[in-house]
Amino acid sequence: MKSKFLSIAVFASAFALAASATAQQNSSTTGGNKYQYVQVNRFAVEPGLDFPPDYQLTIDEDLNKVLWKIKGIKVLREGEPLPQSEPVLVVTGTITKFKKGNQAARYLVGFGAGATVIGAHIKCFDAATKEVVLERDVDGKVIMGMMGGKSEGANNGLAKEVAKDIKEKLR
Amino acid sequence: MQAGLAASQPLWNSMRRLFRLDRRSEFSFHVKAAKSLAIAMLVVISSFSNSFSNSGYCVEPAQPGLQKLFHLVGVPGLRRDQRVNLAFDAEGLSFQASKVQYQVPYARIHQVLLLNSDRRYEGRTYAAALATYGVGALLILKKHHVDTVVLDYVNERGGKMGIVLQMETSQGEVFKNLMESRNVSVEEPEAASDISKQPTTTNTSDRSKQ
Repeated sequence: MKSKFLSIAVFASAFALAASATAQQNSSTTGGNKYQYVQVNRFAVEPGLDFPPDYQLTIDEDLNKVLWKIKGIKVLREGEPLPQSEPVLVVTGTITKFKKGNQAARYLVGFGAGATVIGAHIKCFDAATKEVVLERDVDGKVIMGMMGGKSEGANNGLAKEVAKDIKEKLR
Repeated sequence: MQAGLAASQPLWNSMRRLFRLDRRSEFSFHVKAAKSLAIAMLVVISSFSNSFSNSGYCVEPAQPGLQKLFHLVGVPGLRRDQRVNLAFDAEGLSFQASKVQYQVPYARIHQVLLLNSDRRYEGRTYAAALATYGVGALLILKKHHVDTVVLDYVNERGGKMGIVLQMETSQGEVFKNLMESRNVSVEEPEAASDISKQPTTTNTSDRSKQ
């Protein structure tokens, strides 16, 4: 009888320890992060650059979609009211480079021919203090893919790179 | 009465011969002609039913709309290049796919752009390449002209959102007309820039040549 109680107590304590360790691990992924809220502003286009409006909007939507997948972050759209008590990271960017590319050339020629390239300069700052947290150049490219790959994939590539940088910075 | 029965006797006999109704009053198809007649009847009935459903006999949808548009980005729950139907409801645009329904009220739409663009059909190219031992891959060179709609709107909290769709050029014109009938203006930046680029003298000379 005594040994039974002992074994139950051992199991219970082991379970409690494992649960607390998991909780600690979860909190370390989000707890170290100062910013729970990220506001994504629509990217501007450098003057003189011929950048299609549908691509501009696609970058914004793709970036929102990718950031939503990061645990512990709530994404706000440009124009939405910011929470007063919480720090907010504002993501802004300017499209600096655009090469339209050609899907047929990518598929039939290859070797980097017909690549679609979108380059951007992003800046992330604190909404309250305006302190710059992250500033760098990023790009999205489509060099190959299924039947040469869709040119719109460059938007998604750029969005993923921005999200990766933000995630690393907030870790 | 008897005269009428006598007149119908040859017809009745031929029917009996055709369908063999004389034995045990069983309705059995023993003659090939009867079978083909029955098949022809079925075909006629089915074609009539199809024509009824396609014509004014079927119930017209309550709202006008556009079918099988390409969704590029913006509608939650839809993948890129997934087909979506668009209905023009009384309150707003309604996007409908197999498991997704999403509405954007007209009042929240800020800007609508209609752009000329093109897309390539990879699926068809792949199928052609498979069927023709690779030669069909040249189909990738073929561009399909489409209209791209860029819809700029705000959500209930005032946040900027957007939807990008692609449709056939004929559907683009219908889309523009339907939006303008609901007091939402549609801008065509490329058309405007083309007009501004063309000098008036060239236009007149071109017309005179035609």
